[in-house]
Amino acid sequence: MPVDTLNEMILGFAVILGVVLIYVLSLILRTRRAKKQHENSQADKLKSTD
Amino acid sequence: MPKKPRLLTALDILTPILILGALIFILFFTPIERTMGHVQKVFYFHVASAWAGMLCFILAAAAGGAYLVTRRLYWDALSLSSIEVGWVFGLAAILSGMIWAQPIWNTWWVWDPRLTTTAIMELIYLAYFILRNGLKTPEAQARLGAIYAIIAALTVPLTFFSIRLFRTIHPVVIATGGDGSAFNMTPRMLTAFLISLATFTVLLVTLVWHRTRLVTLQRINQQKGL
Repeated sequence: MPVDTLNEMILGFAVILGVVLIYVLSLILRTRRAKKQHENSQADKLKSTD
Repeated sequence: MPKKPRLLTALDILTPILILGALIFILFFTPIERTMGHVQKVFYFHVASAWAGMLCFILAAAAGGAYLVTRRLYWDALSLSSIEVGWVFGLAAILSGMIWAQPIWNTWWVWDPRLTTTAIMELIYLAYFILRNGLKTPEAQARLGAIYAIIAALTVPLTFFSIRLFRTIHPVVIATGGDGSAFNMTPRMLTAFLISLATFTVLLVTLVWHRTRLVTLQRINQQKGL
């Protein structure tokens, strides 16, 4: 009879997927911010040429 | 910013499907190990995380070498991205290993050669970001980053072979010898193991690709003084 380690299994998967998910979220947020900065600079450039 | 390639969009869709598929296969179609019980199933993603991390660090060294030869900043972006993604995978491997060790070794951490070399590898790559941020120009960052990535990659074979070179309590997963030191997998366990390795390899490609695009965009913004 194997030992009961169901909770540890759930925790293990939660930690691995959680770490990856947090990184993915940080990547999404950083990309959004950089895109916004880029778009704002493009809009400023257009305004200055008008 | 260059338009998002179709292959990257396909990877964005494919990667979560693969992760979910691998998880379902592991949870419902692999046997429960006789002595360790359910927690053994963490091993598939734990090893795959460690594999992906090491692959990223090797990729970073190769990209660093390519930068030193060509002096193109794209290679530096790839090297930086690979190290960042590799560090995340390394952290996931260490934390999941600790969770596995608690019921199996009755402790969260031991200064075993494999655990120690993995921790050192992770700390060396953490120092990469600190050193890099201390430099001002992108060229200086790229030059130091490339040299550092190549030297730091020496920790990858040291970590990988540590369980073969030193006395250790860490299980040997990839081994051909029948001396009992290798972890014996049933065909279904082996299938789950290979699926996990493939899934995490696809995941690392997706993440590194996205991160490299972000570095490129951040550099464009920096050049504009934003």
